[in-house]
Amino acid sequence: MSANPAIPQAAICERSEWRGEDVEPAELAERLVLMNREHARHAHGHAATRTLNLLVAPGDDVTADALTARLAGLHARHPARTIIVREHAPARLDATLAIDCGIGSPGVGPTGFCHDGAELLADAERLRHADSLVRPLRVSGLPTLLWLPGAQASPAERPLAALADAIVLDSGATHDVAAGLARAAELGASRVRDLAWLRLARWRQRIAERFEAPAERALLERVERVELRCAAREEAPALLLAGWIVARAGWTLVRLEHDDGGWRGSGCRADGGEVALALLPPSSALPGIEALTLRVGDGRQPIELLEPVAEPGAGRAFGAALRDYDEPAPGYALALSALLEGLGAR
Amino acid sequence: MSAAQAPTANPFAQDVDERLPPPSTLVMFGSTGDLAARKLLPAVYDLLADGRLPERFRIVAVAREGHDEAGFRAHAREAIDAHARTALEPALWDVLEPRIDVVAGAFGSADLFRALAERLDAGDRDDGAPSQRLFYLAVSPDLFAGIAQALHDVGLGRDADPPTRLLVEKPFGHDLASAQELNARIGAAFDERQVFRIDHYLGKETVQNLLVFRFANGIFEPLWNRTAIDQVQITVAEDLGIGRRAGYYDKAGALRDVIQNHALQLLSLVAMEPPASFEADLVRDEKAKALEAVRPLDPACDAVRGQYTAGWIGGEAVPGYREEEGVPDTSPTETYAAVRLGIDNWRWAGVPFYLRTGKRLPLRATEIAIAFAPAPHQPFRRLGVTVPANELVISVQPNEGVTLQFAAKVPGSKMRVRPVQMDFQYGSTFLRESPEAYERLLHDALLGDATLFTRADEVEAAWRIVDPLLAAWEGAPPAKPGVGEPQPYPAGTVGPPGADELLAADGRAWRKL
Repeated sequence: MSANPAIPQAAICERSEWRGEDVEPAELAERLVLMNREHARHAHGHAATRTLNLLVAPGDDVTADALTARLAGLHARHPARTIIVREHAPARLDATLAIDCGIGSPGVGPTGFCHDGAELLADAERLRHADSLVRPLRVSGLPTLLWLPGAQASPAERPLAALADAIVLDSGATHDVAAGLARAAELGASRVRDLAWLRLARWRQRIAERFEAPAERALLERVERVELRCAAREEAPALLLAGWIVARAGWTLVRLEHDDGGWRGSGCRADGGEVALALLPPSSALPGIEALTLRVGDGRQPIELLEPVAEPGAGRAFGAALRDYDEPAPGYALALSALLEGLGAR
Repeated sequence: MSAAQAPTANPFAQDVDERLPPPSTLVMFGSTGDLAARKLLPAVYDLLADGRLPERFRIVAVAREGHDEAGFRAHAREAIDAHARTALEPALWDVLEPRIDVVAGAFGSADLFRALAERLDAGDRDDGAPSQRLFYLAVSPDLFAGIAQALHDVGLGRDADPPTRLLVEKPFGHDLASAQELNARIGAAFDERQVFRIDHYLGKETVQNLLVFRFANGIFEPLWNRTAIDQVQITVAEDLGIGRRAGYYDKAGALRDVIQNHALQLLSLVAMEPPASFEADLVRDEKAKALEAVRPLDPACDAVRGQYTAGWIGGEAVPGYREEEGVPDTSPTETYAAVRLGIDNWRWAGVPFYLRTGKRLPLRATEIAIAFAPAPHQPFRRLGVTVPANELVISVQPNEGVTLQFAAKVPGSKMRVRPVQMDFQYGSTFLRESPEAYERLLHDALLGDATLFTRADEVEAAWRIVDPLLAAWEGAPPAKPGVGEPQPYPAGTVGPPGADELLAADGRAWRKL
């Protein structure tokens, strides 16, 4: 056993680890049972709590350190059996099994808990059948989530997606926003928990709040232009927000295309009037979506909303994805569908 | 489409998980007090940090003469820094700070309330739209009725436009008569629907989970009655003494401080019938009915009171109650109370509910323990095996969770049976931290959801239960130990011996603390 530096300082942690080369999945399952039994024998007083099976299939663009950092924060708060599946060159299956325990402390509460998991390294051919590697290792009766960190798809993505109750990804993780959105749609919008969308929770709240009054809602039918100002890396969430506004306002997105300054498009209101759509660079160095402006005809004052306070960051969006895995993200499928319509991808 | 043809429903609202409260102004009476510093201001900040406040949100601190905006804002920042769940971020504080105003004056002065009304109107004018107003009375209870009337007199009470709400902290009265009078006086100034009486226990996640546990898990419903349940024990134990609250506590005692409100609220949630739906008044109707069905206490045989003497807690010597600062040497105030209650209805006839609370007990723990009746036949008895009763324990604090105890065979050739526990702990099962109780309650009040607030009839029903005991303990001449005077118990022990005798008379014992 050894201290694990990746776990937050508040938790005092112990780690039991086993490594093997050229192993069989069934052997790994047996060894994990033995490790848990051995651990319980030490009578540490930890509650073995697992709420889900978390499968992780990172693309080549995700470093091991970045993944470890994210999972360390997760484990301290949400114990799961985590099974990471990565590609390596040798034509064999290697594995690391581990049990991590947070002992009662201000960071994790007085009870403490344990979680366990496996990191599997396999060649591309095996990964194309990753479901067969993972099945023996899952805790039965618990939901299975698949997390796809990064922009590049792992060979394990498809087979593991078939096992998953829900899939966590970030459509904004790639420079090719349209490809990121298309990937989400292919995996099934109702199963996908898109971090780009979950980061918009406060924006959606704020927009709903703004249109609570009937007089404000009436202006929706006079909107002639929708502008979003956002940082380049936030284009995916900004587009999803635009798609959502279009769909929920009862408009149709006719065209959407990328140009040098951002994205431009046009939509059609229910009365046949045209709505221009533009994603523009921000006026300041703010990292997120800076402002939403709906310009209304008849010389009226535009409806302008600035970035809400406390828009969830990546960590909180990830937490929300895991916590609410069992419910389709409200509005997401609609927003995605509207966008793909505009992109001509459907 | 013209304004008259606007969509009837907000098309965006359906994709929002949590509705934001409408534009609001929170007016805090007692803004420089301990409750505001430790709970209210941090709760406001935590809500802001969580993005759960409306864009147009203001705080108006009502303070005594001599307080100004700069001073109060500095005080608020300090309080938030010290007590908020979320770390103080300068960018967020910059959002909140300019939204804090102060109106200073004497609570008894009509001028103060006129100035307050003008300040609220000025805020609305600045914003270009009206905000609902919430008045939070974190002040001495003797000021509640006067403040409510004064607010009404300046047009901020019943039928106010923009709408108003009155949030009142416990204690709500000191006996049945005073609670009825207070309800009547507040009722003259505010409609009952505007009055939100706070019992912060109801804001705790585990207490709300009790409703989910009972009414969302079909397996327990057939067991939740006199046939399967042998007894219910509700414990609210504190290891702390009275701190600096001697002035309040010596007049109140354990019965008023905990049993009449927190413990009876927990009892009502355990005992209530299922509501038709989870709407405020339907839930509160059922809670009130459960409390109405509780037999008034017989002081001679249903209750025990105690008072702590010097002892040891956590390796530290601590003084007795009468040695605490501000407590009279001959104080008869109880720091421990245990009662046996019966509920006269079909579901609970014959099932005793034992409630206990105390200061300077060995540990801090609030829990509801439901002991199930033993199996009707014990086939292991001939082998000399004693089978422990099944027990369901709902821990409210400090470790929020649920534990189910059942019997299991000890591995080996002999038939030995031991109790084992299945644990569910909130902190280690759900990713999200539980919000503070005040955060939840404040947010609900902003949304106008009264489900977790006590209604006038609930408060009065609870007083009706404990009133005979108060009269006996405070008015009658000493008849026997435990009635006329509190029994002593050393600090750090589980309470006076009479508490054990109370249950022993029924052939039962308290669950070990």
